[in-house]
Amino acid sequence: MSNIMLIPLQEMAPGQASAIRNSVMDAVVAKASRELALPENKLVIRDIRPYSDLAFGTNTDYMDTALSVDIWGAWQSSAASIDDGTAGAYRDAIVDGTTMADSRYVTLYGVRDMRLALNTQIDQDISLIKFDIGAADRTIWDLSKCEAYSNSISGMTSSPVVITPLTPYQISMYLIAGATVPYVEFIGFVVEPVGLLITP
Amino acid sequence: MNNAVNTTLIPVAELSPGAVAKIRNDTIAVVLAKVSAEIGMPTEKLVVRDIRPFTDLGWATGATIATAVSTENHWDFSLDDSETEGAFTVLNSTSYQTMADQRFIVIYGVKDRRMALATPIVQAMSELRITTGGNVRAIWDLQKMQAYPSKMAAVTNSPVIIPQNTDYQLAGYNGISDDGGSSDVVSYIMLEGFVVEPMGRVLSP
Repeated sequence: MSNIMLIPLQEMAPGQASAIRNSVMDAVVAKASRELALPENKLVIRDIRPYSDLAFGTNTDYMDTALSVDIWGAWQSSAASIDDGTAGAYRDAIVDGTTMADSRYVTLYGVRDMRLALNTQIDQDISLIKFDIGAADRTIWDLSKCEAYSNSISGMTSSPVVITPLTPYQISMYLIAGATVPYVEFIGFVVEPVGLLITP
Repeated sequence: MNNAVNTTLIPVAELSPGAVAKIRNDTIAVVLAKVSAEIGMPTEKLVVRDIRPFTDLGWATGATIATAVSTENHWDFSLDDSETEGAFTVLNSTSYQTMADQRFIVIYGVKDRRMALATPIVQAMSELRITTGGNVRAIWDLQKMQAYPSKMAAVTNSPVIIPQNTDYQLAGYNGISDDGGSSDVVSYIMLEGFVVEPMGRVLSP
């Protein structure tokens, strides 16, 4: 059985989020170590840079203007809203033809809705999120299920999406209305050789 | 458990109960032992104290990132609205980029305090980069805390240690230089960490 459901953080047992994170990291580090032929201690696990690592928000199918900044599609003083008039359809967030960088593994195992931190709260314009990796739809998450918990709108899955080196990928957002600012961030991490970007 | 170096920042809301205390206590124990060995002093002659942002770190002394260069010990400063979006800008000026002798500063997390304001503001800094000894030690995504407005804090299992007499640089990534209008944005980010140094240097508890 493949259980790819997104589980709201508020519906998890204490410690379950940590258990998911740790087990996902163990699995991906082992995979990267094996595939790159590097010992685990030569690998680093780090935060995702949304633009530099994932090219998130670079497709005008999703954004008004393609982003070129490391933010999760919001906060920039311009070009931060979702493309208008696109309700009721998936819109691609990554520029077409994008492939993951060499020696880099990006793993996504959850999503956070960050609009709770706004002074004036806005509606969420995204309901479903679809991940297409290597030309196959790997999972569809329903972000709406997390909205019942207004003090932490986030969810995780124990079946992560792993984007492996040189693999084509696309992340598509199903829009409810269009023309609002997206405040969604993925929970995940990058595994890559020490020294490629960071030397801890 | 894997053997890779895990530099990710984890929101406190996504940690198990007690995990923050464990990270803090483990980090203090490791760094105390390291300092004791390096400066040849028993741990009972060392003190672990809070960071003074300006005096110890030179926080917000970078003339490009701050509207007014800080000379005070608080974490708040106004981000210059002419700063370039989409780039790292150094937080500590060149006058404050070498750690003092017999002082070790440890950074193991970040807090975003703007939800404590009467009117919460937009967070302009999206990432924090820490460089020591010429190597980038961590790049933390500060946005991940924002899904948890009542617990806007995050910690890491891989603390960054700035040893004595070592070059260091703190840099903020400007996701937005202003709030869409014309006013500067105040940063309410603070670093979670501590100082280890010989007793009597600043404090004699």
